[in-house]
Amino acid sequence: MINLLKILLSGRASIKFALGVVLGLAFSMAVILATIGLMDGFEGTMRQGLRKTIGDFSIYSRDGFFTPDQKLADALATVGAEAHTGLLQLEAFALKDGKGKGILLRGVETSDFQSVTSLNLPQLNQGVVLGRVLAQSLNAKESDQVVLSFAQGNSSLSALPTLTPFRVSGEVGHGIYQKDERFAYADLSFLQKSLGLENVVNSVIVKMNPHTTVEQLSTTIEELRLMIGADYTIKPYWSEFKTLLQAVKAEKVMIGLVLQVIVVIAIINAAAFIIFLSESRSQELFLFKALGMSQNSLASGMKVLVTLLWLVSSLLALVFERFFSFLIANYGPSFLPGDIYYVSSIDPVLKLQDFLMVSFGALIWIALILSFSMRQIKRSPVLQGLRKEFS
Amino acid sequence: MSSHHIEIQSASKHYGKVKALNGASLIFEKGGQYALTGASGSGKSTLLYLVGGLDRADEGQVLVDGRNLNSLSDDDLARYRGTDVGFVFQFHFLLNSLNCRDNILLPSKISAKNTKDVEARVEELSKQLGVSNLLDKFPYQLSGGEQQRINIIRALSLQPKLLLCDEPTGNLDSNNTEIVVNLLMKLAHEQQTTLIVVTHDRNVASRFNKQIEMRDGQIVH
Repeated sequence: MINLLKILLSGRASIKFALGVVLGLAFSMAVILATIGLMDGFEGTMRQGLRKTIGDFSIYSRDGFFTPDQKLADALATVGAEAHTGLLQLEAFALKDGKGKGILLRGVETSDFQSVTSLNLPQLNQGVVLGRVLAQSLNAKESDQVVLSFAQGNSSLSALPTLTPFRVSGEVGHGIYQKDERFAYADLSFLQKSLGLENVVNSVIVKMNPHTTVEQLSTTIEELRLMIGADYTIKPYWSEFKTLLQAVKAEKVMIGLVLQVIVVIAIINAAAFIIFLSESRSQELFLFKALGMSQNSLASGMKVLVTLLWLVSSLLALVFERFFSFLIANYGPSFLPGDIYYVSSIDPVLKLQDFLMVSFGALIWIALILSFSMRQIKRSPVLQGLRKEFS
Repeated sequence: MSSHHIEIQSASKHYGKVKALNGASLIFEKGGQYALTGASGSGKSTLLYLVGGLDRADEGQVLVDGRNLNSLSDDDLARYRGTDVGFVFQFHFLLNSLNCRDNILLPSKISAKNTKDVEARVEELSKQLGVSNLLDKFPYQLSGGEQQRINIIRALSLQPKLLLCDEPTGNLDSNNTEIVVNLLMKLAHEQQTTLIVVTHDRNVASRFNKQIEMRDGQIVH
């Protein structure tokens, strides 16, 4: 077998050709893998960003403001919620140095909020934490003062907004551009007091086991709906960008299909290599057959050869893919303007199943070409082949 | 089952419209040394390749130790060529990409035979044939006579039961022809190998006490 491989790959032309095929195939697979990884990375980053802001799901009351009661707490415990916390969120304007921005102000209990979302929120200290992009656009740094303007809540008849000055306690990144641009955080009790809404919130966010799948979460939400009744609505973390996430999935499939064209081109190179080998080494192949090598042994040798080429290509594709991913992850912001993309940076994620799908897809192509090529060799009688090749 | 080593029964072979072998019947005894003669196109090489399992008869049977080669699968036929048959071709069929030693060891590597035993045999045969110093050279560095001797060593390296030679002296001068024929006969005798030599050279044929003449795809006598 080794001897056969040695002979098949003898000569500079064969080695160069084989290297070209390996590089071409590896590069093609890497492009597909990086693209799929980018899509998965986008989806993953998006989902993670959403979880960072609202946990696994949020509960809203149809009445607007509400006080989370024991019944709700019991229901959440029954479905296995690990943590939950109330939020008071309202639309507001942030004003600084003559600049104004419409924002969503969220009143939170810092430690509870962090235990639900794992968002690294700086201590509020009676101040306000701004989304990273918001802070930049207002040119607001820590300890600066911003004025927040918001309505006085539905318990008051006053139609006039309040204007409340806050010290900036820090800034926070969610991983989602729109949230970095629009979210601000203030202390829940302070906000409740300012609005005259003691002990009420307008949503409860809930954290489940981190290993809970999308399907399991959907089931849990259905169970909870039955328990807490029609007074509440429950939204999973993906609901805000549901359409976008579906579009990304569809795009992933479509792009995967389109990129198969690149693999086909690489496979044509592989086919050319196999044909080149069969032609340029046909003298050796026919002599081996004449000296007693069976068609099966010959086919096994060729299979080992192309499998080796495929294996090296696949491993090299992984290296290329890691390199592309490194470029995207580290130099991504320059390619991903935040006002166009939803996530400010993407760390491509390569799933094992995607790698196997692309890599074994290529193997199937190669196997088909090899079987066709071997059939051609089998069809030629040994004697005729020997005479032709050695004449 | 026949007691003969090789028995050809009414074998015919066509190449397109050309009838290379036309119902030939023949018997080769074990350990015998035969010269197959006849004009070009008489069917002698075709007969040789049928016996060697390089081709199959269209009609009739080729029995080797009672086995009908026609009924063997392609892989079994390949195994038969690898273990039972040694070929000495007129044009040597040596690979220029391998040195002579590797060329000689090809059959043993293909058949997965113990290479050390074969190597020892090759060393011994090389000494007998006077080519020990050529084993590390490449075929294109050798003369025609030297190449033919390497070809013979390759054919005998696995101690085949049957040594088939197709015009082994066709490209050699009279001096080398004499050497090669002597070697073939001597080695075949020592190894109790059945030797069949196709030749159109009457001088070569006259060295064999069993001569078979062919004409128009048939055995004349």
